[in-house]
Amino acid sequence: MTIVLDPEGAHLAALRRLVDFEGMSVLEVGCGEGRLTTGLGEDGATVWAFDPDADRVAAARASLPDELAERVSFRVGSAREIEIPRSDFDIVLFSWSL
Amino acid sequence: MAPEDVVHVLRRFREALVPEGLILDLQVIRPDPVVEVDGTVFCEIDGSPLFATADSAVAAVDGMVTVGLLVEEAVDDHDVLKHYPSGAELVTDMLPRPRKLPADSISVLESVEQECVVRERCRLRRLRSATAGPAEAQLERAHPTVDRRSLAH
Repeated sequence: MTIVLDPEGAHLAALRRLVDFEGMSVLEVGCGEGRLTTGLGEDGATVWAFDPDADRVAAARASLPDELAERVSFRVGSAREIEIPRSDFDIVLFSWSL
Repeated sequence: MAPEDVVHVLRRFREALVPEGLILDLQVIRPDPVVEVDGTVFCEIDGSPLFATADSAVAAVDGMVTVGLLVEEAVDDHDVLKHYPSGAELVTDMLPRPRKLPADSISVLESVEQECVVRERCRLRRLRSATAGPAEAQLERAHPTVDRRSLAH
């Protein structure tokens, strides 16, 4: 048994209570290992996610299901400095990153 | 993140939104997290270091709400659990973190061989971006140290 954060999916459930992500374009700030990112992609969102921790982003990429590869992308960078690809996101999600 | 950075980052990413786009902000909130063993509270964790960070973020968001750049539409408070195979693994994981276990609980907790759970209260806010106007200048006066390059998008 290993250490597991939120296996009950409480965070993702809260997100789903507040937003229907189907068809949404999401910028996720502080994605970590992609725990929420994958769920948003599975809900039909296109997600551009980043985190300053390269190891965690690598883990996020490795765990991303193949079927989400076209809708979900990861970058390494800080919220202060990263170049934002465009300015037409429907949603910005700060995951404990403000 | 320093308070000035919070404002800078918040403004920067607000500008990445479509008109009336949404910001979702997930933060830890009080009360202090607790360690549970077998469904019973074993001890409280001092969450003040994280609350200080969260308070800065909330203040920045509230500032943008006050000047009309964001409109709070919904709030969802919920508990999140982190599961550890044993007390010893919990102690090892927590030691380098800013949040601290009570010193008098550590040795007892290390002897717990069953699953331990950290329960933490979190808040998700849904905020809608409003049209910038005079409020933008008002916010700039309130936070004059903000890097103006963030406005160049």
